[in-house]
Amino acid sequence: MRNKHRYNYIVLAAIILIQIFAGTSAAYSGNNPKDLLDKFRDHMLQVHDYKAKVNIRVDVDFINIKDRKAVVFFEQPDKFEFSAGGFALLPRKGMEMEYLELLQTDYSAINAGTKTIDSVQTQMVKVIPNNDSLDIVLAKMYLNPETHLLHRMKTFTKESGSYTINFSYAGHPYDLPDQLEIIFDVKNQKLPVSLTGDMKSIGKEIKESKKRARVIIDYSEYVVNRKKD
Amino acid sequence: MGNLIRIELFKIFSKGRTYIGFAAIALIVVTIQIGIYFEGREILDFAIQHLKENFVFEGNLINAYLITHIILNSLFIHIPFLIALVTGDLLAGEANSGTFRLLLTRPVSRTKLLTSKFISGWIYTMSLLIFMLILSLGVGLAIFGTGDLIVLKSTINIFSSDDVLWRFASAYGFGIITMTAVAALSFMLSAFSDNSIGPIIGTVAIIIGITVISTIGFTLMEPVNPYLFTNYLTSWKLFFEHDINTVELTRAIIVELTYIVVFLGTTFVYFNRKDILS
Repeated sequence: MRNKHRYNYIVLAAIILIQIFAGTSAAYSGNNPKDLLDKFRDHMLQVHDYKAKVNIRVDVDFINIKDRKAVVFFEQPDKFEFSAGGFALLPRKGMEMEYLELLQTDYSAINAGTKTIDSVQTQMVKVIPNNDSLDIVLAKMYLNPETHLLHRMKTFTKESGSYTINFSYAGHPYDLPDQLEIIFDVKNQKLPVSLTGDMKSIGKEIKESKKRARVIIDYSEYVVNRKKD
Repeated sequence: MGNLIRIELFKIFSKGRTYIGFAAIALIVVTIQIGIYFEGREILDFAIQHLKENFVFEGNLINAYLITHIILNSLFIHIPFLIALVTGDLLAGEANSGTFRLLLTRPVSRTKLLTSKFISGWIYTMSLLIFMLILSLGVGLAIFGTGDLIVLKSTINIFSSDDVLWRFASAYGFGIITMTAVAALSFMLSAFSDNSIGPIIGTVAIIIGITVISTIGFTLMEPVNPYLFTNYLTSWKLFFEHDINTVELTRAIIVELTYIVVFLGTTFVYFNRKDILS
């Protein structure tokens, strides 16, 4: 009986300690955005290179293309290649772990509150690079203070407009995303009839506009750090 | 009937003008293929340059399927003129050369004669389309190989290489129907005339005239357009959409078939009652 009480006390004490530790950790991260970003950066820097199969879904109202399969290869710091059996297109931004380039330069980080993304309580950190040579001028990064994983990143650039990346995870050992959703603006250019042969468009209103593009990339069969090893 | 058709085919393919269509198609197709071989990449880059700001691409889009589609796009509107060159001459040519009276003294009914002539004209039409398909797709495959097909319209449609051949087969199948309507029109005009220039020019004038009027005066012609056979000459393009508009396609087929029946019906009724004077 005495042993049983002792066991209960130990379990209770362990639970209280875990709660205190977790709370302290969260509070610590909340007050120190750079620390949270450093942990995330250091974690992701363990990925020197990866190869993965991807399914690409392009959702732009003026591009009709069915899902495409491809193989992507990434190597630090910015080598990115992909190959597909046929024609495939990928967003120019968002596929190359651009956040690592940002977090490896001199930057300022500001806490900007919390936000729940897919039932995960995230901390929003505004990251402003102190280095003018970077294309990124501001990034809003939504990180889970407990797992130190990035769940959303909204990036504002000098040359490429803004884009948002939503990250989904499925418990990969290196915490690489299971799915990326990249959202950005794309210009809808009206093509001349001489190119399209679309005679029925003659006389109709010619309107060029910016459209929202959404590309969803599902990753599978990751092979990580094969080149490094 | 078989003998009659063979005789009519012999007559068609004995005339030099029959080969004008094949020569014109060969010249245009080879010119397009040479042009794309040397400048296709630049043209395509220009067409999708706005996408390059935001996307990176992988894959070969300059291939036989793209070329076949471009050739279809460029030529399909002109094929009716090449068809009319022969089908417009089928009856008027006989009248012009004064062979009708001799021909109709044979124990062959006018209906049989008309049927064999139209079937022969239709075989010529088919052979012209098949020649175009073989030249554009066959030669294209040998030079450019296969790949996914990009179709530039008001939207950019991209089709997998394994999703393309049935679309071309269907487009050509539909093309046979529309070109049969054209052949039936010139055949009908040929019955009305005693020289072949009239039906040939008449067919061309009718197609160009209605197409221009219905395109430019779109609002004015809007209620009538759905019932004009010329409105569907380019409806083969419906097969190059991911979600095929089956309602539009069905309407196109019904309208074309209706015109074929009307044109041929008019020809048979008129010719069977016609007083042959030449």
